[in-house]
Amino acid sequence: MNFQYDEDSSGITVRMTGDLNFSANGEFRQVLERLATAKGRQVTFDLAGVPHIDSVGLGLLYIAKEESSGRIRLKSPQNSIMKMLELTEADADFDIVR
Amino acid sequence: MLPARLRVLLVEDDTVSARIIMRTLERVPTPSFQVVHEGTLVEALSQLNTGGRFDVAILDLNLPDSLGIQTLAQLQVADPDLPIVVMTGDSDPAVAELALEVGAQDYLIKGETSERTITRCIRYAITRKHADLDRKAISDRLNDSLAAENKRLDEESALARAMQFGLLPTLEKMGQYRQARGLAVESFFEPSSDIGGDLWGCAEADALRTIFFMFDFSGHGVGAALNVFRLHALMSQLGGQIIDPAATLSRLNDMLVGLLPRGQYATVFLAVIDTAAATLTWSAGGAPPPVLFAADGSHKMLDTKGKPLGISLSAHYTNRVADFPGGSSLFLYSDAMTESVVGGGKMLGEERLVSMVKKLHTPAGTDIQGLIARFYDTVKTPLDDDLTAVSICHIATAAATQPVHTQSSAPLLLTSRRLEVVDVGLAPPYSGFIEIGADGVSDVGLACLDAAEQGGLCLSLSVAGAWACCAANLLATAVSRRFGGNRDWAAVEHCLSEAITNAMIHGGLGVDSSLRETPESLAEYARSIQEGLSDPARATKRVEVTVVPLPRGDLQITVYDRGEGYDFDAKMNRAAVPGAKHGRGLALIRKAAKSVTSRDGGRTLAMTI
Repeated sequence: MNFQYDEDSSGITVRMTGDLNFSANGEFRQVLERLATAKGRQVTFDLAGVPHIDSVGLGLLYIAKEESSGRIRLKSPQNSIMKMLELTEADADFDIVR
Repeated sequence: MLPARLRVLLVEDDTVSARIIMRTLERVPTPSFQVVHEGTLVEALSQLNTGGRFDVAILDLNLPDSLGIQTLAQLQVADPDLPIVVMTGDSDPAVAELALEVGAQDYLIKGETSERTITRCIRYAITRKHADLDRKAISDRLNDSLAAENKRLDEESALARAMQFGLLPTLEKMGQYRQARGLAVESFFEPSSDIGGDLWGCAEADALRTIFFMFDFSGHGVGAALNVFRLHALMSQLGGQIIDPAATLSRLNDMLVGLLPRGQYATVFLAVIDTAAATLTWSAGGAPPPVLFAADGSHKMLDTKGKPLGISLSAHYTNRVADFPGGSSLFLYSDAMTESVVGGGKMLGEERLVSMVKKLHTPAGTDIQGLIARFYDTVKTPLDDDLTAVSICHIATAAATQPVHTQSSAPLLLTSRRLEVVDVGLAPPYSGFIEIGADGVSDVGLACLDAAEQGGLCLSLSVAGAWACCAANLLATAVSRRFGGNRDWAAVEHCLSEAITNAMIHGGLGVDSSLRETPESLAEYARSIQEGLSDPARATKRVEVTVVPLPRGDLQITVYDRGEGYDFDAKMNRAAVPGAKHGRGLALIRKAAKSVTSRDGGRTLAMTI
């Protein structure tokens, strides 16, 4: 799992590459630390480079959402991830930008 | 050039003869002679031993205190570098000849001692002795450097020998073959003249196929050994590509014909043993025919007809196949075993060797150490050729063969410790992958074998193994390739992923997901997982998955763990918590799958998709 950050006046975008799953727990903590410095700003996760998210990975996104105390935008999810977001009704909790 | 002044030691007991010689020498203008006269050998030796330096000695062999050749010998011992002219009576030419043979430089016959004769004689003796000494010095130097050169050669050949032994398979590798491939290999190798032209070796073609080879270059010593390194390098280059022995021999032959000097060649035997298919496929070029023992102890000689490598570009090699089920073994040997000489000057021969090998055949292959001991008792030593003997036995252990099919129509399962080949086992022709764990494969669930029997796919891994190789991803890819069709692949992927993650984290490692609540507890959660993975008791528990196609086109995916289990119904019926950070896995499965059921107290989760 790899994270890159783009920050500008409109907010912070986290571009992720690799699977966001059961094994990403440790690595995701650095994202949370980074987001802690950007409280109150628009947070976007760019998922174009993520082939798979499992329920653990989704749980991590929920933690991020809670930590940033605002809505989170999920950008460009691949089809199977979109399907998963729909199945878990997470599409109601996150702003999905296709 | 002789010095202008020469010191002469004259040893002569006859005063008349002595005086004649001294007078004669006094008359010579150049060189001038300074003569010291002694009448006995003792006095003469005393002159030499007290540091008297002389350019030449004139010696009467018959003195009051010494007679004949003895006199000459003693003077030579006293000063080995002193040129000596002996004086004899004309009655005894044989003594003069003998004196020359044992080291006098010239002789004078008493009564024929003219000025000219004596001078010529002395000159000649001195010149000849100096030439002898020069030659000796040169030859001493040569001997020294020859000894040094021999020492260097010995050292280099010891190094080469060590390097050649370094080419042989290590005991560690043999241990791995026994563990992971069910092949028990025992061997003996002894080069004849320090370094030899024999070599045997083995390599892994893939998880189930193992390559064995033996070759013997013409000749031995350094030249043959260099060829051994050459062929070994070529074979190492091919490595795992060696699946087809005949094609490989053709390639090696093409390369060697160009490389080897004329008249050098190698007899060769190359075999691929497939423990899953229980076959032995070989091709050969004139190697001694190996002995193949069936599990019941019966034996046959393998056909090894074929041109040795390196002789002809038009050589053609063929593959031959024999059954090699558990309990079979193969005995390879170099021609030194059959061509060594026994009593009566006859060679041991194939028949006698085979009868020897049969006596030392065991269910675990040929007892090589016992065979070599008996062989050395039988033949004349030292041998004049390299000696190689190898036994390869397909041992029918549970670890190596149990999950593999027992009949040819049964499905093929890949069993290995190596997680790099999990995807190989998940792809045809295999019907699944079984990780060989700490307990071998005795803890593999029967459901895995059943699934494979039903045309499905199975995967059995330790928790640590499943974690390390991302089992869910590998399976998702394998399932879509194998079963194809118009399915809800996202659902398959999610179900596999969620169920396997639950089985690993909750079932296997016993880590509770409620820790995944806050960033702080997330760290604790990650730590618990790492702890679990490094705890052998938990990390080696199996996680197993079977995927079986159902009649109506659905897939039945079942995931098994060896954990504590849980109350499946309670979890399934729990109301969804908005924004929950964990506990979503089952919900996701429930939505993605057509049906979900649990058995065995929550340790088995079956999903239809």
